[in-house]
Amino acid sequence: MCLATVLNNHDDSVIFRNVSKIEVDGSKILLRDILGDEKVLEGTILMADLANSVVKLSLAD
Amino acid sequence: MHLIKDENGNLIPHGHDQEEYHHDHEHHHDHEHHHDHEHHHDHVHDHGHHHDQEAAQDCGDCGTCSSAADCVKKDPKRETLALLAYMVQHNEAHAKELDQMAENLEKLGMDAAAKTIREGVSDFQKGNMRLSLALTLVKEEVKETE
Repeated sequence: MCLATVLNNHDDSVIFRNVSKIEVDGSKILLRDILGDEKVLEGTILMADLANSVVKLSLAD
Repeated sequence: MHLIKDENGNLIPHGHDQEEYHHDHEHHHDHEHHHDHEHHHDHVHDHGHHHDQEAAQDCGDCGTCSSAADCVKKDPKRETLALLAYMVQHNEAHAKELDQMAENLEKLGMDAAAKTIREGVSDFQKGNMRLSLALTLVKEEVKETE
């Protein structure tokens, strides 16, 4: 499986590139990229297209 | 698994073992960050990132942030190193999958297709060896600039 680009479903903007791991804890989503950098967001995963390495999130306001 | 051998039948090492991607350097944390999860260091990465939201930096359109205040400026050399290391390893996994596919095709009686895939895997691994060499060169370059 390849690294993923995580997009904001609202406007298809890029939230994070080269994401190697996604963890979900309730409404918290932890994204970690290949460099080990992390982002924690509030929202839900709407879609994960593994063939095209795209994940779409719906972020909480 | 299709392996590449030299004219004497000796295995030509290709790709990297998992250990290649483990940390052999120290991390010096001069900032605090609270992690309630584990870091699994199976790849090379730089701890130049900051969790301090007030560290406003000019992100220079890195494409990974929505504002300069939220931006972490990545070292392009280290990012390339991490990506290349990932790709070399990932290609090894694909080569194994393709080799398994060839084996399955043989069992299905599709010998010609199996043979062609194995030839493809061989070419693929030769290409991956070049990527491994490039990885070595990038590693040396990154070490020199540290």
